[in-house]
Amino acid sequence: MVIDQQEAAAALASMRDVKERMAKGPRWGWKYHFLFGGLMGTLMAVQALPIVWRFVGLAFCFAAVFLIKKWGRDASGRFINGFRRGRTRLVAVGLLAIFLPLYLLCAWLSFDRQMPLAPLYGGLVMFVLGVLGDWIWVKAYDADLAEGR
Amino acid sequence: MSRLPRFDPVIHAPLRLQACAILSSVNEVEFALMRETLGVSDSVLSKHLKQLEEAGYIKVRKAATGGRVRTWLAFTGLGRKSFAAHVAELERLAATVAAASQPG
Repeated sequence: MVIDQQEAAAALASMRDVKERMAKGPRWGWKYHFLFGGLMGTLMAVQALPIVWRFVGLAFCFAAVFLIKKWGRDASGRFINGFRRGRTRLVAVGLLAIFLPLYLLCAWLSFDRQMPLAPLYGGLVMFVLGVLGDWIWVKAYDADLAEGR
Repeated sequence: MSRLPRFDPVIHAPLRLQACAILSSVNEVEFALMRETLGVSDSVLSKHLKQLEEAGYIKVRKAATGGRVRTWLAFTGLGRKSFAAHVAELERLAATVAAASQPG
């Protein structure tokens, strides 16, 4: 199959164009950001519960992950791995890098330092960071698409 | 001496190339969203997707949601790899133009 250089450049341009159009397609919106933040916050806050309820809370969170993903997929007509390559991966890894130490800190404060409310405060912080993080992730995704990535 | 570029004729048709570009930006996309983004009819898109499916480049999944069946499309491993190779060739060829047009 023979393609000349101009045809190659035109093909690349058409790919960038369609990705830009995808960036303007239906979106998850703030509802999804709040649900995601709520999930992150709840995951953190359930540590404040007695042991049995903690497991109930964790089971609830895992079920919520599935339902939120399904809802987001149906609402937007697409499913994207949060850790996809590009700027989006930086945002996802950054969020995880905040979540894990904060989770361990809250567990330590709650169990070792007898500060039972620490996970609740941590949950509030994580809720805000989750909402903002998800919003930034979508901005990063749009920027990646605009650059044809 | 530069090697001859190797393009994939299944991917290179303009509509299929754009469909692949969409698939490369997601893990899974609904047929309706792809059709609206490309601005083509159901039948035209179906025909092109069939060719990608027959080449083993995409997988098609049907799922019932809210009482209606929706069709979801995703790259297979082979499809993702073939598309990446095709794009790399396009970029290489386009880069030779850019390099040749540089002054000096």
